[in-house]
Amino acid sequence: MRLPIKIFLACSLVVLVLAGVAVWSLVELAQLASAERTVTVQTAEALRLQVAIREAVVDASHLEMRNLVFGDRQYAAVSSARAARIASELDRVEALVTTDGERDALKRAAQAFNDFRAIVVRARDLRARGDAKRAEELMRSAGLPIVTRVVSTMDNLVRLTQGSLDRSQTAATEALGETRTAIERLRARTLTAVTVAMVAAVLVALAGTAAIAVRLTRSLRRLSEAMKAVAEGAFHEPLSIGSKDEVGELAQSFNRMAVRLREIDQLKEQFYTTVSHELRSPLNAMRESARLIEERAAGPLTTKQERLISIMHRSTDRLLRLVNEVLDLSRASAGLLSLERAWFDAGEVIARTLDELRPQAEQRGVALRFENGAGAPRLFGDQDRVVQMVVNLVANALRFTAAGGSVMVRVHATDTDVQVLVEDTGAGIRAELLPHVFERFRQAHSGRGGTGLGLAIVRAMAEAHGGRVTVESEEGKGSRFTITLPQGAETPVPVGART
Amino acid sequence: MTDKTILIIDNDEALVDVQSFYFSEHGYTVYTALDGDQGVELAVRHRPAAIVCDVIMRNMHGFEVLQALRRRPELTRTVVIMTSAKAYKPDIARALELGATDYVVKPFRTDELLSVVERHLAAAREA
Repeated sequence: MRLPIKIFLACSLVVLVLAGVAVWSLVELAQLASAERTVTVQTAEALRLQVAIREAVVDASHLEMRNLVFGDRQYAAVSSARAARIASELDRVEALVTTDGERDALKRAAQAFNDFRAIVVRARDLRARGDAKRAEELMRSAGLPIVTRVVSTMDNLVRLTQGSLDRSQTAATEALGETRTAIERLRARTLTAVTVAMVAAVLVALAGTAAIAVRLTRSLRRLSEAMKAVAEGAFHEPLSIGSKDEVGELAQSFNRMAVRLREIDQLKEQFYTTVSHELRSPLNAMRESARLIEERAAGPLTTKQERLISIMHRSTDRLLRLVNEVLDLSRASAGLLSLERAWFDAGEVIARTLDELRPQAEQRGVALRFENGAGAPRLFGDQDRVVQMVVNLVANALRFTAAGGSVMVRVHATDTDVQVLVEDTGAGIRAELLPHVFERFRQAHSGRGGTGLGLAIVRAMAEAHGGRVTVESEEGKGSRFTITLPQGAETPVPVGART
Repeated sequence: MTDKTILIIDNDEALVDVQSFYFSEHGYTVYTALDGDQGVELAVRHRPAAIVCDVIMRNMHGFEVLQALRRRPELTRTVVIMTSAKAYKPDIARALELGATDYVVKPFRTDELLSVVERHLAAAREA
């Protein structure tokens, strides 16, 4: 799974839980609101209609009486309309009443009202035949008692409905109380649920995110360690990060890169070994042959032959030195400089090295002095490389110091390092050239011999030992080069160096 | 076994030529081999008084050659000088442990090599 999807899923967990709680709370509220309301409204309407019917029946009987007594047709029309409305309202009330008692009373009232309307028909018939007196008589004797019956039935119905309404209102009030309690409960429950759900969701999301982060960090740490191993040339096993996300892809690319780097490393090593062998072998043979001729191993020489063979010997010497230096530098910059480290007494080794350089110094008329500092500085390093550094620095110093001057070499130990100082009273280096003296083929003074690689090699060797070389100089007064090398074996081995 | 016979085993043909010339000039019968296998073969066939063998060679490492030589009863007392561009002390110790008579670090002067060989041959004669 890709990383953004993993992180999105962890976060959406919180959102999903919150949305779930919200929906649940809304459903609970909706259920609370729907109860009891309809009953109350319906019963109140029934009561209103019943009272109206009761009044209308009385009105209708009065109107009918007037019609019968006065024979006024307008009264008859109004009475009929009133009666029809009462009939339809009775039907409406039937739909609104809720108890059997009410329905029974309503039925009786409707029956009585129908009886009343039958009497009215008969009375109107009599009136139509001109018998007003009998019509009035019929109305008074039969109609009005029925009206009284309707009214009393309606009164009874109103009482019943009023009772219903009262009960329903009491129920509504009770329900309201219950609703309040329920809302209160719901509020508390929602609060608890939201809190619990929030905490749970946040915890789960945190755990999820933490798991992603931990896995990610672990993988990245392994990658970082592997990269360090690659940088130190000590990476062998491919990384096994099986995840299908970006980190997994990174690990795979890294493995491919490491394999490729190892191949390149081997190619480089092979190249330098071959080149160094192929170049050095014939040059060594040439130099040795020239030397043997010079020393009359092949018989006597004429003066001219001797001069030519001496040129050949010196040139081969110089070429061999240059080849060795170029190869050393190339190896160092390719990270292939091999150090054969062992503990040795730096003072003693440097003293021996200077003894070998002394004839050269005497030949130039330069005093070569040595001061072995306190603490018998011991060093865990490649003795040959240390000698090479000292030879390069001292040979340089001798080359740039005029006859009568001096070259001083000091060695001393600090708490952690061994320092070798090479000071001369020579030509010095111009300030603007000082930052560049350790670069290849950068010579402060041309035409004084040297390959232009000596100081670059000193720097490469010092760095391969985990140390450094610095220079201070004043033109016309002399220079001081300081090599600082860590003493201990626990010093990290620099890139590419093999011990 | 004549006293002035020498076998030079080295991959470096030019160097072998120079040494061969110099030792011949000094009255030696010189056999040369450009790899270890050939070197062991010539050593067994000619039984030279001294053998000069390079340590780092293609195909067969100098130490293997040394071990192969010392396994032959007729070559146990032969002077064997190992030569190498590596002046690494553990290597030198290992060579002596495997039965090398001496170890000379390259590059060396051919006359120095001659004097080392002659010194050991003289010592062997006295023994």
